[in-house]
Amino acid sequence: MASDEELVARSAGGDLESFNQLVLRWERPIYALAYRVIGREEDARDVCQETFLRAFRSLSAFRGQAKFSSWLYRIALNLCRDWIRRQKRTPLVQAPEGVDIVELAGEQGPVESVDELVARRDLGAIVARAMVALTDDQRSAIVLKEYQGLTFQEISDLLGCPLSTVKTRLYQGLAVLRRELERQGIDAEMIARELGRREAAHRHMLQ
Amino acid sequence: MSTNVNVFECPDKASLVTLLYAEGSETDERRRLEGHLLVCEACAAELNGLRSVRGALAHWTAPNVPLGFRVVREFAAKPARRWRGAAPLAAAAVLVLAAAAALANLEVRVDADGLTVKTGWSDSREDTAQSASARASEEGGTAPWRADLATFKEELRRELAAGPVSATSRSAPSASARSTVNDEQAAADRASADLLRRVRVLIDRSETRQQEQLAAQISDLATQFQIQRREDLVYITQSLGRLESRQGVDQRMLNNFVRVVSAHQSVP
Repeated sequence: MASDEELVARSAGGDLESFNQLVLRWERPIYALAYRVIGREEDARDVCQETFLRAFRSLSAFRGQAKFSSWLYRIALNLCRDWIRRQKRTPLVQAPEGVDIVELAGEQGPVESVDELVARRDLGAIVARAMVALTDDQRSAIVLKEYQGLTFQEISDLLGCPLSTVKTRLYQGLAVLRRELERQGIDAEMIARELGRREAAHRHMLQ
Repeated sequence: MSTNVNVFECPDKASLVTLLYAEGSETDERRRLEGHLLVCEACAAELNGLRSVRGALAHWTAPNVPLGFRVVREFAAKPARRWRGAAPLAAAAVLVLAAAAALANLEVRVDADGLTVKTGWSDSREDTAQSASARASEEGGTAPWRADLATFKEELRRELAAGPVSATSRSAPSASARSTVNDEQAAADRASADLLRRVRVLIDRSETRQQEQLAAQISDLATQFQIQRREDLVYITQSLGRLESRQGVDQRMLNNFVRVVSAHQSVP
């Protein structure tokens, strides 16, 4: 299988198919990153698509000084930041003109209380709610470390901050999440129990 | 960080993430932290708390939405770019059409002003053809027909200069030798016919060249349109696919909404 760097070189030479192989390879991680940073499926899709378009347009600017994936992550994170900035500028109290109220209600999904989520033991949804309590910087650091599996150094390069700042953001973010989860009655025992159940189900599926 | 730190002294809590993610396995920092955890219950509990949060985070998965992006070609800058490449072609097409129209009723005249090629149509038509060529020259186009025309003009001039017939020799025949004049007249007619034939050959050649160029330009244009059409079709298909998937999402949202509303209504 061709490496990212080989495919990038071929793409820069005008081979669209090579670039599409890179898209196929990286669209899931980039989508997952965008989804976890901005928290909305459709917008994350748009960010993901725009990331690849921008990467394609500026392939000539990519000189291999970083890993191709790091470059993609950087583009995606910048787009996420733009998206968040735009959202913050939009007043929350006024519904934009021409918005169908039914559609808007549907988009939010059936609203479940945290109690219901806890009763259903839907830890994933509870975590998603808890993530909202993080600052943008803490959230980016946690997503990059926890879900994208980047090293401290890679995160430091990507976010343009010192290693010590990366660790501080991670620690503070995890501390906030811990507090949020405990507030919902999610304690270490429950998490351990759920993890055990998940692993058992996974083993069962493999058999 | 210094290695001469008291093992009983609690480190900055943020450094616990080094152990949490098991990075820098053999570093001094990690060894020191591990040593500290053996003697500090609070820090050990803190680390366990962080581990448990990580366990919870593992439950949050990204939705498995259909993606399948493909870069076909850049579309964003399309309206601006689309015709930029085609503009010289379009100008060429206008030119080629003008040239083809001119061929339909060609008139070549040589006079004191030099060589004049006329279509024999009305002046306004001539103006159109001229303005088309003017436009082409404005665009900095070095249309191939220009070189041809120059060559043709040059050849025609050479032919005329070499020709034995002149207007004065024909208009002033010698009265003393009628037979000679007659002979000369016949020779002049033959030369004139010969010149006419050669001019026709030149015109024919020029026509053939122009027709070939016309065919090549039209074929180029057709290819361009075909490529554009194929790209547009792919773009339309992708857009339709996206619309359909959005429609599906909308439908699911509406279903959810209806479900919630009916659930509320069913409660007395």
